[in-house]
Amino acid sequence: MSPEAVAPFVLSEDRAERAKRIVERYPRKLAAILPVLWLVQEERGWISPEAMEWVAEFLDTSPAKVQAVVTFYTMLDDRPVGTYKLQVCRTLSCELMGARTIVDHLRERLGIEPGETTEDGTFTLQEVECLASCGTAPMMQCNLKYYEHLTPERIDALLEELRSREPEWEDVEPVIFDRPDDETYRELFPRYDAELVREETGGAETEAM
Amino acid sequence: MRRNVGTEKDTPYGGARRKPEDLDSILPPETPLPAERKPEEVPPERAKEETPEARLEAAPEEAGLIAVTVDGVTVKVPEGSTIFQAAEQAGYTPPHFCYHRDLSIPANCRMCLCEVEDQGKLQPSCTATAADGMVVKFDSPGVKEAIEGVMEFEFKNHPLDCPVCDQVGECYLQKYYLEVGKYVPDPIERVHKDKVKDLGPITLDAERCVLCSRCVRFGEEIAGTADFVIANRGDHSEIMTFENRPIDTPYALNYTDICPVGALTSNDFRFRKRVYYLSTAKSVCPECSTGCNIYAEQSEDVLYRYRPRHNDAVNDSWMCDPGRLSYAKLADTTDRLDEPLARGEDGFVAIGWEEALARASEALEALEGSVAAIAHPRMSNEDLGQLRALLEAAGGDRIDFRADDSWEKVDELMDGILIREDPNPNTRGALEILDLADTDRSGVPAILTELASGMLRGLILCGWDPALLGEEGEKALEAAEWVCFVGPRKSAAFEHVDLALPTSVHVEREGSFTNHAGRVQRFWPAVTPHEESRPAWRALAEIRAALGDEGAPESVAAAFAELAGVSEPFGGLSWDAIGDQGVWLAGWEKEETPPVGYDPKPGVKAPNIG
Amino acid sequence: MRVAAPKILMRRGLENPETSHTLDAYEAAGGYRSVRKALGMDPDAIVDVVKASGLRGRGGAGFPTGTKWSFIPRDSEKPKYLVCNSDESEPGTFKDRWLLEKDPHLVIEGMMICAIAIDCHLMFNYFRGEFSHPLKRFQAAVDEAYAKGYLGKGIFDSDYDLDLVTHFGAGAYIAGEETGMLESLEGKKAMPRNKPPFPAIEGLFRCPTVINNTETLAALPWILENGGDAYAALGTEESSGTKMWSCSGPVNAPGVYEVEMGVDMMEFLEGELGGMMEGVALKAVVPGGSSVPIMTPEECDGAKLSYEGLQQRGSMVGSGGFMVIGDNVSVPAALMNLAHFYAHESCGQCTPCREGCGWIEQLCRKLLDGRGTQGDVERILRLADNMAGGNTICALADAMAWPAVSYVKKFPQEFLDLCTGPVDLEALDEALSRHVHVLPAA
Repeated sequence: MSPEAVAPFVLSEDRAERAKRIVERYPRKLAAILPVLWLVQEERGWISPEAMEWVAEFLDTSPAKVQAVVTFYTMLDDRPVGTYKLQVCRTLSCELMGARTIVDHLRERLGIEPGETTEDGTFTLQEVECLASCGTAPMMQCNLKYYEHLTPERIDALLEELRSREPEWEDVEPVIFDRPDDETYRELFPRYDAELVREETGGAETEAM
Repeated sequence: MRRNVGTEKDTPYGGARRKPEDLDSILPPETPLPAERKPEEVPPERAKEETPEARLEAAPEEAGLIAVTVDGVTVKVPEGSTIFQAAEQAGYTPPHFCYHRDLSIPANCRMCLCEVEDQGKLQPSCTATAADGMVVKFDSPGVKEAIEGVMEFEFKNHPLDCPVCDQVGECYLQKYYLEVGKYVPDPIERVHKDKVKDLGPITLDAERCVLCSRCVRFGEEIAGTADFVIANRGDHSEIMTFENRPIDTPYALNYTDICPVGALTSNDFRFRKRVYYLSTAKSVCPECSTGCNIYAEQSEDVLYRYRPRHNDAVNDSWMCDPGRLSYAKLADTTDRLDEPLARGEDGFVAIGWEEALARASEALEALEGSVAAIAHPRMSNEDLGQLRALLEAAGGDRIDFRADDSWEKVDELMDGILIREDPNPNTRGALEILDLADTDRSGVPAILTELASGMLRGLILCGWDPALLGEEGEKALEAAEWVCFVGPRKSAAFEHVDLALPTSVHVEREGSFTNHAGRVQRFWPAVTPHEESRPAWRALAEIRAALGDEGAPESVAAAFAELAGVSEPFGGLSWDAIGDQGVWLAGWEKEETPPVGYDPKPGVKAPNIG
Repeated sequence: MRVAAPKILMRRGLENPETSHTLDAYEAAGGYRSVRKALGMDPDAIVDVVKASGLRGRGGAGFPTGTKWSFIPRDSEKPKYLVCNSDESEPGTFKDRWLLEKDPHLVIEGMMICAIAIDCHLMFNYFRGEFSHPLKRFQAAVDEAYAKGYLGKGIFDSDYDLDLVTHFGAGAYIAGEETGMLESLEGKKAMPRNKPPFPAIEGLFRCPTVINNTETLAALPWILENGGDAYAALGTEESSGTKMWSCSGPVNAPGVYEVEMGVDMMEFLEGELGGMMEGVALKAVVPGGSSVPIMTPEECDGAKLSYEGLQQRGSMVGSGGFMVIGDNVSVPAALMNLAHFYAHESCGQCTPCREGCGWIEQLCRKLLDGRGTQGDVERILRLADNMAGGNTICALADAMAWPAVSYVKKFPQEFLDLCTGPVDLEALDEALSRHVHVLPAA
């Protein structure tokens, strides 16, 4: 795909207006790069090379530097993702309370591995690092919204709901389900046998250096 | 034991393999361990006041200098110096990847760590400021362990593909591995990155990269094109250009110099020669009036590359790609003059130097002073001095070199960095030596007119292709009784030339150029002269001698000394004192030259890289 | 049973969880009185009050807040900036989120007080990118404050201009490191800077800058209202005031709790947290967020939740992420989980951290896969040793090294159980004694 073959990126008028206002808040233009990139991502769902060039032009910097920033921050996508990005927290507090079981359940329900997108482009599954919701683990973020105290049943219901409606960007109020009872938690809890770990970690091939 | 890599094949000039005399711009110099640095022997009765500390105490306070002790060696450095700089002055270059003297300092490789007395943590010496009375140790178990640790980390994800890597011999990783030798293989997964990406003038191998960020900083601070960034993060960090686009700057090959490993290699040079087969000569780039200091590197008398040689007063550590790649022009010898030629009835015949010198002196005597000389700004200071002296000896006084208008642009920077409009290395020298700087002589056109009209009868034409002198030139040469060409290359327009003397080019000989700013800089021979060619100064001096001038010099140093005696700006300069860093002409001295670059930040502690 | 200390930070949010984030509720509960008081005070006097309170940074490092402010050069002609660190990303920590959601005006008022003390007129609150909801709540509060004239030109009808910009990241733990945050705010990758220069001298846009944690700033209104001495009277001598603990793991009542510094750890676990879930026994506690050394039940017994109390037990308050680990969890697996986190979050700038974090994760995986040997366990220790102790620009490498060494040190048998080939506990002890200085001094 040559750069010439792709139409140049243009931000929609109201977002471009917002971008201008954002720049004004900062003593230096470049400081606005993250908020502006968020606007771009909101518009297209991801940040294409053309969009990076647009941002570079807009903020008087080089496209390479924009690319460096986009690839550094994990919430910015430099490739297309599904309509719903399901980001399950995998860090210790959530793992202690069953995050792996949640990921496994999603893998099975969606038929994809973490990092992949369903064929219909609806869901992208990701394992992410601590989302500061440790007391209500396990949890995940769906686009910008938190879902806390997850169980497999609650995930099934949620997937159903998401499939049946349009994505909602403005509503970011967390959904905190009731705390699962001890019995449910015990089913979620991680098991640590070598077999399971091998499966979880993809049974990495050993390679001599 | 610290060792330099690739320096063992040491034979004197002329041998098939010479010592790659100076990897020191690439590799830190070999320095003895503190224990091996022997203090000077001093008589016991004087020992007390002769210890470094005592000397410093006894010395009068020098303004702005502080005393720092590095591994027992006390040195005085300017206030604000880093510990790294103090260590270098004390004779030890700490191991490093990210530090580069002409770039900002990110302190990210963690190789130059040192122990500072009374400070708990090891300090990165490249960024830690030295303080008066500071006692620093590099030679300590703590530092050694830390550096071994860093090396172990460096090798974690580094592909051990040295056999097919073109950096071998000038690779920092290799060097430090030989020095600290910490590598315990661990059969775990490596992080894989892209192996070979062609970025135009250079090839990127992200997997070999140690992420020192030198290229990122060079692009931002020197070239101004910010080609490289480090994308991603953690152990997936890798350098890349936007969308892997080719690099578009005339300074691209500097990236390959500063890359401490085989991540960035020159497409021109890679896989052509192992660097440990190369021998190195110090030289000066002849492609513009900036006069960048360079190394010219050859193997078996074939030039393989130029690379920049550090000089704070001229080019810092950089040079442009057109200058660097100009070495290749010398490989084409089809139009080189092989031996002295004289016009015979059926065209030129080879006559040998003895005959040529005799004919030249006879012709000059016959002209009785009615002779002019056209010099060339690619001639060295000594060449120009001898040309002037020869003309004087022959009784002539018309000399100039301004056959085109390039000399008017001698100071003009083309791009704000290094490349100047004037494509000649010695325009300033010619202006000063021929005393043309402030006087309005009528220049080359006047000489040609006078030749055409018969007012002048003979001409010594140096370097210029007669075809470049235009119609006026053709008329002049046709009218002239005797035309002697002195230069390295012949031309199709030699029909009026009576005698052609072959000269050697700068990499084949010794000499000096004066750059646009008045800096006199020496160069040394890298390869043997082409066929019978001689340095111009020698040929001209020999003609002088044939004319009976007993003062004609027999060495380049003597030629320079003679110049210093007759040319005011060169007065007081001595051949030896020029050294390899050059000196200013009298009246051209500068306290400080600004750092080279688009937005250079020398010594600035860069917090990080964008 | 101990006497409950006043809830300095969480009172409004607990009493009135539905509306506590609104300006009306905040003012009805006595809010925005302290900042008015501060406007009438000499800036140095505010710094003195904060110094007297003994308040220490709640973000992890525990640096005395008043002292930090006093480094700002008063005579500098450059603008001074305040950055509130709401990039709460330390695994196990979610107290700032609670504050930002439940009581954003408390944070705003705290920021105002700090700004007045350091003569700052433009403040930033840096949210982690994932905090969409806290950000929305906070932005609404800021809008309310602007509408009332509490922010903007001439706040509270004084001649003091003060603006607040909410900024948000996009997913980078390292942006929570204070100089990483400055880089990120300047629009670059969040790569920590070399220090010196310290932010108080050259911070945001090379101007003097104070960076304080959200919880730290939120304590200021109470301190200004009640005096530094009143705050210092709470807690212990070295750890004054109260602290919010983010509690997670298999306990009956996880969540955020504000308690006085110095409470007994096991009492806290049994009391506030409601004890362990049925059928799960306590194996260990990581008291201050994932970066701090782990504690065995024996070490927890009798430990006090204070800076010095945890230090005596070889751990730290850190950010107050109180993670309880049950006996259903394998310690090497927990270490692998954390190593994955640090490998993912290392900015990649310094060699030891860039390569070391991922290496430790791989070694843990190797052990858990049944392919490891005791040599791998010892290599974990050696790598951690080479990463820690200031061999890097920021403390992320230490934050990986501390758990690595402490997990092996406290639970050696769990690591050895995974090894193939011969194991030798004595040799491991010997290796530990060589590398244990990595841990913060007890």
